[in-house]
Amino acid sequence: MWFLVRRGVRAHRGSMMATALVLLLAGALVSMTGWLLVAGLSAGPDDTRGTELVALSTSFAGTALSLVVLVVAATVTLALRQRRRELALLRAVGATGRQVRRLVNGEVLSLTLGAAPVGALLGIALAWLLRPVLEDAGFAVPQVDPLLAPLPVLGATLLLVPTGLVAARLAARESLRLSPTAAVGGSRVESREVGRVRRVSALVLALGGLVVACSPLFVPGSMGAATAATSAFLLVAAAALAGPVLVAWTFDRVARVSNGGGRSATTRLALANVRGFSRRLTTVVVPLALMLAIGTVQTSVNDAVTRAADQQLTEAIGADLVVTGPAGLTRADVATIGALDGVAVTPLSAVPAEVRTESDDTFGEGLSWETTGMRVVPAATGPDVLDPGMVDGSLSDLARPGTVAVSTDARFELGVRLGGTVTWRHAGAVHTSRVVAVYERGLALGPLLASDEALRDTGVQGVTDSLLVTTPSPGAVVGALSGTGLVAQGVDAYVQAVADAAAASSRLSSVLVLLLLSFAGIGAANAVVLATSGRRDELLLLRRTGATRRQLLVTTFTEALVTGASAWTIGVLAVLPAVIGATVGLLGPALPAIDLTTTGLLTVAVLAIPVVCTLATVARAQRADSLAGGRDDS
Amino acid sequence: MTTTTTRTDVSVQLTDVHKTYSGATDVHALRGVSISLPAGSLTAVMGQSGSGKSTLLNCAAGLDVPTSGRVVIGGQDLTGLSPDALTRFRRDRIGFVFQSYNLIGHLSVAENIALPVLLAGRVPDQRWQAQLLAALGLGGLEHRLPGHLSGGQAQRVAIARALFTRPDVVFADEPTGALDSRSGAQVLELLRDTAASLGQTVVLVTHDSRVAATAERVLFIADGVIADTLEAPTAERVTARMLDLGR
Ligand SMILES: Nc1ncnc2c1ncn2[C@@H]1O[C@H](COP(=O)(O)OP(=O)(O)O)[C@@H](O)[C@H]1O
Ligand SMILES: [Mg+2]
Repeated sequence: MWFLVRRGVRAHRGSMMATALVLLLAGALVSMTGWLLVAGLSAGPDDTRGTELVALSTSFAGTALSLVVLVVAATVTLALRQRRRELALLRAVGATGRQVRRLVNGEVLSLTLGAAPVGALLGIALAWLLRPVLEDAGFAVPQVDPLLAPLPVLGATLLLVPTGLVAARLAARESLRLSPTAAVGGSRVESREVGRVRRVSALVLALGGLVVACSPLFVPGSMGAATAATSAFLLVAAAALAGPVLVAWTFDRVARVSNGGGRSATTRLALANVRGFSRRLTTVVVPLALMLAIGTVQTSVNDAVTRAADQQLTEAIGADLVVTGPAGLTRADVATIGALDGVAVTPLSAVPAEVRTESDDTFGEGLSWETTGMRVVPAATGPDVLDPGMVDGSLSDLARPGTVAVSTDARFELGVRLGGTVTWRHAGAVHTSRVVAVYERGLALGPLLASDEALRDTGVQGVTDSLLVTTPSPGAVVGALSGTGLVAQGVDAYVQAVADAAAASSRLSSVLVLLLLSFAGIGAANAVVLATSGRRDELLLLRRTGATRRQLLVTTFTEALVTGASAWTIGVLAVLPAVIGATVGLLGPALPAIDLTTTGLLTVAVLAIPVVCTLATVARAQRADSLAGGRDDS
Repeated sequence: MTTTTTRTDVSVQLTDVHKTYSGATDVHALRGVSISLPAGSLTAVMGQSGSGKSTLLNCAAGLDVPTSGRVVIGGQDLTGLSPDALTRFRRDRIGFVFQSYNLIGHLSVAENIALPVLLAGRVPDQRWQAQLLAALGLGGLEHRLPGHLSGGQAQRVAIARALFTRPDVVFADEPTGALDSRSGAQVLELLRDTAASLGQTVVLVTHDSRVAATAERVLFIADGVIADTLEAPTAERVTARMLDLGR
């Protein structure tokens, strides 16, 4: 058997290289994530830098792993589908089903074991290159013991091997279901039947996707939005499984509507091809749709969260002016401004704190500390100055020592209730506070709210970073502050400034999304090339039957365009529930936040990748054919 | 599994075999075929395109499973064998030559020929291989890839592969359909002679009356049934029957 594996790998160098490239990049992506996770974990649970990094890498891992699994599966499927005839001939000559599966498994296994570890090492290098971006965004990457390097490599390999094998198994099954004679006899049209298991899984995934997309309605805040974002993957996966049925269904409708129209031979040929090879089309569509989905869902959900935060902040602040300084405000600053004529001031302070979360069993520990911030306001602040949107209790309840208010998001995440306690620590000292109020505007004010009075016994003192000013004559306050280095702004200007600062630190998430997009893009291009080069015989036959070079190019161009358009449609449909869910959950009934620039660029990419890759492959195949004298074996 | 190895003189026996391809409209490709071919005989199968010749051969060779009816090859009933058991039986006891696309492009001539034996996990008999290659006029081509062979050479390699396991029965479905008449005749002659020297049963689909005339018996198939049988045929009688069937 092994000689068959070796020969197979050598003979199908092209598609093997393509698969290996995808496996390599997948390995890099997985191990980069893994390395950041290892770095965070090895810093220990008491190191703030570590917990932040763990949070970042786990949230990134969800997206990255789903993407990797789907793209690797699509690539392996396509690479093997090209060889259905060869596998059928093997069976006709006497290979048992088991032998064919072993052959395919052997090839995929050797490829994965070769490519994944190399990619994983690249991933560690990538994580190292990412350090400056991480540090820019306020993450510190702790030193990692190089002895731990095998962990991400092992993790990447352990993820990719079963993914490849399962995909190989499904692809082999597809060709084993065909009778050997049908394949050898030259019938190459695919079966459009979709098995029941596949149908049911597609349905389950689709329903799951829709439910997950609705999660912002039940799970508050950014957590709900992040959960909703994952629905896009479930929906794309559902489309991948049900693809042949969907494609056939769509094309039957299209064909019925446009029948009898004066379509050209090339268009008709292209449509017939797309319809006849709906499985192939589906597999190519998946990475393209994923690319669109990831890009739009990430930017749109981020957009929705930012917009919701801005909206909450605008609604929360009732004061006339907000005073900020480059290094915060001193007591003296507060006193000086407060002494101005007719001016009332409310200082807002921030205390860096970590809050204890329970049963965070992802890392095997029962307890872990999560880095957050605590807002400190005077308990006497009226809702006309600062309104956190109390749903339970009030700010005045914070006048008693040892009390705290939590946002609705935090109430959900920490699992606390009114009257329960929150354990937090600051500067190494652990404190426990009783929850006396719950507020709604957590995206603007953060998860925890305390007052100077509530903190008195703890000795914790925050740094005043902004001062809310109520005054009949804002102009006078602005004038009085000129030359002090402090800035007094109206609420809208202040909210804008806060948003700008947040945008600067979102460079990290852009870099991470870009990494994912590049991977999906390369996976998509690869898939198109694989699918097209697998059709050399078919194109050659068309040439010999009298199709001109131009007709061939127009046909493949049309097909590529249809492919791109289908990918776009599936991508958009997969993303819409998440975007709508996040928008409605965070902003109430509002127009979905869709980042038009990103979506526009991705649309161009989704249409251009199939067109460019298909035409390039066809042109190259034709050149190779005329050189080789048009032999159509192998 | 009961191995009914009652050794008889009958090598290939089909009893009321039906084959229906189900699809949008069902195609009844075989509608009750019963034949019985003696061991060591050469049988030609003729009929118009689409009459069911390939289906008959595929069902008889265990490449496809009949919808109903019984197929017995060399005393082994193929009905009810598991797919893998059927494959193993086929690998050891049956040789098959397709009309085209017979060889795996990235395996050498020698590897293609030895493939059934390699798949069975046995060591190929080098001397036997050299003998076959020589008999089929393929000496010196062992290490070529199929892409560098002429059509006639490639079909002869396919025949060598079909004969390599010394099967009881060899089925050949228009093995020379893709060849010019000269190399076609040559290939068939080689198949016939080699099989005769090994005492093998051969079933051959052909369109050539002269080729059919060299067989001991010609089966004419039309619309999925055996329309006629001709013993000890001559080319003229075969042509006459074919013309009759065409009407
Ligand atoms: N895999 C298949 N699916 C559906 N119909 C088939 C298939 N193979 C053959 N047929 C049909 O069965 C009939 C007999 O075909 P075949 O045995 O190939 O004929 P022949 O070899 O005599 O030309 C034809 O009508 C053909 O269209
Ligand atoms: Mg035929």
